[in-house]
Amino acid sequence: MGDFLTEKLLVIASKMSSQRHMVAIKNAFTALLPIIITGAFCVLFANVVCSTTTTGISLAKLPGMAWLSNFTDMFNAAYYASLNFLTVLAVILIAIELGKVLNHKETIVPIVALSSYISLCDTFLKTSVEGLADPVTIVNVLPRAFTNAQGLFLGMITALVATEIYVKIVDSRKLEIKMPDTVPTNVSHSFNILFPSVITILLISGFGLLFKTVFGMTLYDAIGTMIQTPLRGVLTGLPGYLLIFALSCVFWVIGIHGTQVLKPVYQATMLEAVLANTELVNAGQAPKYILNEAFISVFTTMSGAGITIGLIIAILIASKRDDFKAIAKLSVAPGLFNINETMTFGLPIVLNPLFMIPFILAPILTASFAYFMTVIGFCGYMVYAVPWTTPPLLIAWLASGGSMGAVITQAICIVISTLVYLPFVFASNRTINQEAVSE
Amino acid sequence: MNRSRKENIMDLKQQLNTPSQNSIKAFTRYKLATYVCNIVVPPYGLYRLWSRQSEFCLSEKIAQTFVVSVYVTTLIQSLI
Repeated sequence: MGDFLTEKLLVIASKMSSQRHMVAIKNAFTALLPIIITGAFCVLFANVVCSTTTTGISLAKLPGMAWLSNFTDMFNAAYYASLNFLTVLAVILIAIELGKVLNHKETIVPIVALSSYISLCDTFLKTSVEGLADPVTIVNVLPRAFTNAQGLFLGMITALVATEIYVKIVDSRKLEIKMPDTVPTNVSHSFNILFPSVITILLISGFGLLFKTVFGMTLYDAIGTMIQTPLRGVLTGLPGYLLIFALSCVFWVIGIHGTQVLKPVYQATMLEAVLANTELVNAGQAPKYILNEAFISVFTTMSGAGITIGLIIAILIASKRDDFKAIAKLSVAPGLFNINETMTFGLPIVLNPLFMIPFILAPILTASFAYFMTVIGFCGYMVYAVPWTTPPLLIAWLASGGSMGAVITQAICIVISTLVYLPFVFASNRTINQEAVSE
Repeated sequence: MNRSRKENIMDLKQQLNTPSQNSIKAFTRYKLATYVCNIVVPPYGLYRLWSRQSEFCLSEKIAQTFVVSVYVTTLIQSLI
């Protein structure tokens, strides 16, 4: 029965992780992550290091440190360049990655995807002007909502669909233009991709126009209302969030890299949530989403999946097994950088019935606790994306933009995870006694 | 029957835990240094990005170059 369930779960996980669209999205976001983190750090530095006008803490407000404000333009420019063009970059990278999977590495693939996406964007912007009662319409511009994280879902879907259509047309070879043999290969290739590119862009653009005519709303609005908002509601709501991370831990305990398998499902939404918080804080408003990409790193996967820092501490405190103690000591250094493969595969936790329950339970409890502490206002919202390898406590301080409440909450989460693992470490002591008796 | 299921489980596990050929490692030491250079000294960052020893794949090169280009343009615009 156990093997049957394991096999079924593995089959599902295998299908999910090898699904080409999921692979393309996962790889594209892996390439984008440094850009997102750079942007988030630039906002952090602009506000916490260089700002002389912020109401919160800032290094530049200290006596003799006002010169730091000279760097504000630099960080603001980097923030603008990175986070304001996230959707444009996502469209290009998803198209490249999907093209790679489909054996189409032509330069035209991302260009077709980007053109298709832009054909669905508004090219006007309504803005209010001081002294005028009615808003003014500016034409021939690409509004920010289509280039930053807000347009991410439309961008992702368009990139996938456009690339698929383009590849299908090219592979069918029905629109190939026969050239004489004297024509160089690169010239004939340019002609061969001409019709597929034009047809793909026209099909996407035509569908957008048809949709607007029939339903009276743009695809951007429709995807925002029907996909983006409900998905965000599920994943940034506590039940959906806990379910997905419990499932990730279930994958881990049967020996699968749960984070890698489920990342494509939640990554885009969670990144969008943390970026929305970053933008709100940068605009001087209150952050909106408690659960986001930074919250995952700080309270759900700190020291690795299953919050194994608690297990390391519990073993060092209470274990009588020398083999466990040796592995725990070995795992302290990588654990500080949130790497716990030495524990999951070394102890092991994988396929170990003793540690399965606390491994799944610990992140659920710490995430719920941190969520509650944020709701009551003790813990600051997670507003900046930070590298997941940042050590515990420092990561809480950075991601929250300097909230000591977040640091204390993360410290309490470590204590909670230790308490969750402790009874099972005591149980493991009993198993060594039984082994000695049986010998 | 039971043996073939166990074999299937082992095969699936191996398949799932083997890193994909296309997977990207975004946080190597070389790449981290390049991200910092992109902001502090953009021309040198671009050199590191496109040099022969570069560890970046095409997707990363395109994305980083795009960001550096917009960053430099915005910075110059704000300074003038």
